[in-house]
Amino acid sequence: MITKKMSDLKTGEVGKIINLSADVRIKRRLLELGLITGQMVKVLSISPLKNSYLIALKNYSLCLRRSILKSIEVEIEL
Amino acid sequence: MKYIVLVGNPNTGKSTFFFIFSNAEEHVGNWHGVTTDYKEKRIKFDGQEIVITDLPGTYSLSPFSFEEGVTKEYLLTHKDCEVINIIDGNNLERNLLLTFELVEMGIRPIVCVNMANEFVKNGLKIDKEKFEKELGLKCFFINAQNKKESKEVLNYAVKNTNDKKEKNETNKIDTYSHIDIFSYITDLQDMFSDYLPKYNQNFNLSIFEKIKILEQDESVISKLKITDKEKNDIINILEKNNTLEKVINLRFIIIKKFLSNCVSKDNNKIYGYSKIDKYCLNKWLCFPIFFVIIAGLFFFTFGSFGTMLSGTLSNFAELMLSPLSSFAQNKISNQFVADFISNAFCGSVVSLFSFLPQVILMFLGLYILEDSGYMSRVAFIFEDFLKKLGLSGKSIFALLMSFGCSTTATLSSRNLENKNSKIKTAMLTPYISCTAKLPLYLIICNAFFPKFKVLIIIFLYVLGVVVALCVSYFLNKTILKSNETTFVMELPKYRIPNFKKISKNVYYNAKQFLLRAGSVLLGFSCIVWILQNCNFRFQYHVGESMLETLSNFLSPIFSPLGFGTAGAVSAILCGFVAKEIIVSTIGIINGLDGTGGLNQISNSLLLSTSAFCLTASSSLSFLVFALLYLPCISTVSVMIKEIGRKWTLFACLLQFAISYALSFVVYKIANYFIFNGVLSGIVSIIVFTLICVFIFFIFGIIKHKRYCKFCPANKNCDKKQHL
Repeated sequence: MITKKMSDLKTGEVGKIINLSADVRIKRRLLELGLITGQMVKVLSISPLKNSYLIALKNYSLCLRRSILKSIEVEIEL
Repeated sequence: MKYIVLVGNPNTGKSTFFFIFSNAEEHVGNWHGVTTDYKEKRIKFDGQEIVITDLPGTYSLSPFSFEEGVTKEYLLTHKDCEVINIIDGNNLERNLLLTFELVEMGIRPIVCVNMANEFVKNGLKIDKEKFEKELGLKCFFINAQNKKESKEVLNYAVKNTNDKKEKNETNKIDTYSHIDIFSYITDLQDMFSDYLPKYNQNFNLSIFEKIKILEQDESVISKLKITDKEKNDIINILEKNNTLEKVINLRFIIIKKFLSNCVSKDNNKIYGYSKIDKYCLNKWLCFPIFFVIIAGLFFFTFGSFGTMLSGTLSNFAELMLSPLSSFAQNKISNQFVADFISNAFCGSVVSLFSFLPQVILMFLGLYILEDSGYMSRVAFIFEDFLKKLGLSGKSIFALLMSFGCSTTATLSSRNLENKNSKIKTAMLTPYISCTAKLPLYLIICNAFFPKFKVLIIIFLYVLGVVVALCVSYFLNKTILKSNETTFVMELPKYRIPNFKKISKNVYYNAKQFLLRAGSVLLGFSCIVWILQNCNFRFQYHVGESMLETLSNFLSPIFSPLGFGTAGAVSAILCGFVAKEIIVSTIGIINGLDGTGGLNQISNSLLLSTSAFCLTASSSLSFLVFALLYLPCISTVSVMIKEIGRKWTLFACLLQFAISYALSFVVYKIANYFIFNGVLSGIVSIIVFTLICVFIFFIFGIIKHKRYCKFCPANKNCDKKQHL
């Protein structure tokens, strides 16, 4: 079990969200999109310059910027 | 009058539903946030007049962007509407969050689960009766494209507004208290009175406002009539107790429980992401795949098929107009009027129609890509690069299409949703060398640089792209800053394009092109024709034409660039009508009758009698100028329509200034090479570059030493620890 920033996940890795530290406006939106504590997320693809991430959560896929993923902490099982 | 409102998450099919009834010809895309403002349509349904409103898609009622704010405000101010909440059957969990918020607001929406077909395919089984009973709201399971099913929903909504009037629904707020699933709202109220007892009674807050305060919605908190200090206190209390997460978590827990009761899942498929994406979004394969697709689109539009169609159509237009022009020539005694009708008017109509097939083919291709869902992938791949230039991922299409024709490319910028990146994209397309400029490059290179032909043409193409990117970068830094609207994007599913929808969109765009851009094009072409053929006393074919006088008058402006001759200037002026004309104008000015090929024209340039007096260096600067100077009339007319007069004028002036400066530099450098020999020229360029690099390097070091964004105090910070 180690904790990481979500932006450090590699393609195909799965993590469990444990903390969100973005500012209120962005945090609210992330929560509304389903990025709540305890949610499992998977990185499906990372764009060529590594600035956008395609992630899967619940049963849909979402593109997010790297800067936002930096504020999300995840826990991954080894 | 009855009012019906459509609410839902982005890309759930609200607009599809809307257009079935409204018959409007506007754009619906497999793309995020196509609806940016609410649209109203008055229709007759079952003999009654109703108004349907399509609100921009929103994830919640705490607005994140301007468009989402529109939705919230509309719902708060129009309390007497019947609300249809369209939700995506493939993503019930997140979509229901909005439904719950609507209920919290005191609205009882009609829930309309869309894409019912697809979720059956995805292995979801919904116990429809249980779903409706537990939710306590009227539910429909439909496919928005299916007219019959959608009609049923609307029918119910219209009837329901009748019932309500009779029942005299005054306390809407109470409508959910008897439904088990919404009992959590009472819990939220309790939470509010626990944390903020002071504000529970005195401020007359609605339940919705209370919940929004718990969610730390600043727009609600700032409306409270309290001092700033009290506001800060509220925010501190909320933050300490983490109410935002508590509220949203609570909703999700209830939704999950509800869904586990009435939905069974066979598999854990991720909606949107498919096997193809493994290749399409792969780090190495994404670019080759993209370029194959764009090359296909390019040849489809500008290749032999498109050219053939445009030839056929312009021949057809000519045929249709020939009675008019022959009537003019034979029956109208005034030669000027007759020629005006047969040459200027008919000629520009024909040229307008020669664009039409390519416009249609391009939109067809773009809409197929968009509706299939590939466009969102492209945005994902190119977002990185283009974000730095302040463009959105979709601009890449417009930029690549402008290698074909800047008119069509500018037209395609209308698909962009962000206003600033739309303006920027439209401004950039003319810098990129279109196919109409190629003949000009060929004749001049044949005449002056037969050995370096390919090299110079490649140089011109690269120059166009580089200038476009630089312009975009500077615009982004100065007046057209792009704001981050595309921060979240859902990946839509690949689906087979709906040809009915596509053909509707293509038809709409082609019509717009013909009517709006066409009228401007027609006007401009007629003016230029008059300039070419009349003198300043508006006498036809007498003495010097206005164009010639103008070119003589303007030629000193161009002498610093090396081509300040009447011939070159009038070729440039005519090039404003269409870049294709430059070559034929050169031929006419040099006294050719227009039947000779390109070779004859380029030979004529070398003759001592040529009106151009071009040398090797001035021909280069002429090429650079012709590449960049102004967009052609048809592009200008499209720009006026898409981005407005003000921006079009700015774009033209900017382009002229850039082309002037660059051709000047090119002329001077070329002269330097010619007088001092190639070797010393190369050496001095290398030295110059080294000096520039050195200066930038030193500035870089100074800048680096001075700040570290993250820890200004630490002077030895190597920044690596922050990455």
